[in-house]
Amino acid sequence: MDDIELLSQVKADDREAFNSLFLKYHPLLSDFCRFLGINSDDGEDVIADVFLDLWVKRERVLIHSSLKSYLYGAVKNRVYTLKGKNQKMQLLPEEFASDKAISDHLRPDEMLFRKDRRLIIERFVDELPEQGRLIFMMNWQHQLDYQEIAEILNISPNTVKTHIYRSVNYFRKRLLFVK
Amino acid sequence: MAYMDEHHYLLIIGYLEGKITEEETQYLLQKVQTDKEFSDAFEDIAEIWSARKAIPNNSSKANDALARLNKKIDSLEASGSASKNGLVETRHPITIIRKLRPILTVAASILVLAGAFWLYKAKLSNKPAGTLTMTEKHTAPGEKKKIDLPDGTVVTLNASSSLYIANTFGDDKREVYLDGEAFFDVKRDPQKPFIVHTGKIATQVLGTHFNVSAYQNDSNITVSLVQGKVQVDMNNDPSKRIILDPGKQMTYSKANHQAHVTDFIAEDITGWKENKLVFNYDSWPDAAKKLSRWYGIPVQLRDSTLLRCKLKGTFDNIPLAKVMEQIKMVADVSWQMQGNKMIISGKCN
Repeated sequence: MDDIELLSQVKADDREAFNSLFLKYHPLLSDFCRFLGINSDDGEDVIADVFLDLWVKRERVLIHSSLKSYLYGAVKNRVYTLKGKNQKMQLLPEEFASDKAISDHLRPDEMLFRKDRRLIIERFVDELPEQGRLIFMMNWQHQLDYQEIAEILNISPNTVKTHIYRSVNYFRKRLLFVK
Repeated sequence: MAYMDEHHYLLIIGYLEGKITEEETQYLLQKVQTDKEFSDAFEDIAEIWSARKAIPNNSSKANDALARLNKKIDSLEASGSASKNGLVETRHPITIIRKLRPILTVAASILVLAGAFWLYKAKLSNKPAGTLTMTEKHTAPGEKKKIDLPDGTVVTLNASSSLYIANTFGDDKREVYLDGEAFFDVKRDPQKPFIVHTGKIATQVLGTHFNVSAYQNDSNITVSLVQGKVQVDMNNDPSKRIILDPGKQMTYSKANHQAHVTDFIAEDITGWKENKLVFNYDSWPDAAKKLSRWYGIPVQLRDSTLLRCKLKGTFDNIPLAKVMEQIKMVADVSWQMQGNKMIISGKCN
């Protein structure tokens, strides 16, 4: 069942449809929260609040393009509010900070497997400027389309495309050095 | 680095995401053949895109979070018009207290990398979300397994595949979940329909022989009917239901969510059961995935020009080097091993 059908059932007070939506988006939104730099307990609270709000407001909630962009947008707004209140949280959680300390030198055998390739790409992603990094991850990892990202971040779809283009160009330059 | 414009990058990304039109695909494939800059960019971007990881789907964590949320909602609504964050809830609280039932309809989210160059056995899960308990059967690359289900049905599981059998199997339905490829010889029982779930596709039968191929990293799901009758449902949408006759096969494209029905030759589809590695006009990326599953090693295509070629042939359970030797006799390709990974290069002729 797709999001539109589920949402219309939620609007008709169907808790099971609501539960399906929660289970579908929980893993994605947890990963997104983690990426936005908050710890997993805060992430859980944010996700629960967003869904609680969706349930409470189910009759009057307006979804512009997709439920997916609505949920990501709501999570992003709450995380930003939270981070604004507590500047400390802008630091990456420790378990990710340690990842970043890995040296830039790659052993040739590190290139062999996709897992390692992923780590390399993730390292490149970390090197991007903040906005570019967020946009690239939303598109690449979270498979939000250009229009959805534009709505969530309140920028134009063309700006989103330009960011993606620049990020990919940057990765290609970086890849030259590890090949 | 030479100049490649934004439009071209987005076209390549669109191709990898399966989001471009047939016309654009033709243009892209032609560019890959003729334009070195373009094919270099294609390879780089395919590499970046295939490095994408699956977002971990921790269903027990999600279920716990959901249980907490439901408690919160229940207490909010039980208090009649409770308020939180200034929001006032005035809905009828009687309808609310419904037990959380396991949710069968939610298939795990799938990351499909259409046309990706890097093939590696990703342990994504095609299990349904929810709290159902399941019996799991897996095959390693190159391995095949015969599984006897409690109702007398026999399932032959192809390499790198997983079959999940609901513990409620046989109660009023016989439901299984498949990630990979399997041949089903279903024991007839008109009272209890047998249902194979594969992502958005559910195949329902009463008793018959059929093959389902639904690897997570393949771009299509195919259901091929040898005998009997099967009913295929897409996205739970009865208007899209397809009934297959023997000798017919349904191919569902995950990219555009369209299905079409064609004829098939039994050996091309079920040859794997007799240890025959069959390429049935497979594109090189598909053939590489098959080799990878059959022989249990990562297989990489070095030249994007190979994308255009198709392979047809049957190999009788022979070693990988022999298979490649025979392919080499008819196609302009070479290969090398790098560690345990095979790299195939060459071009279409």
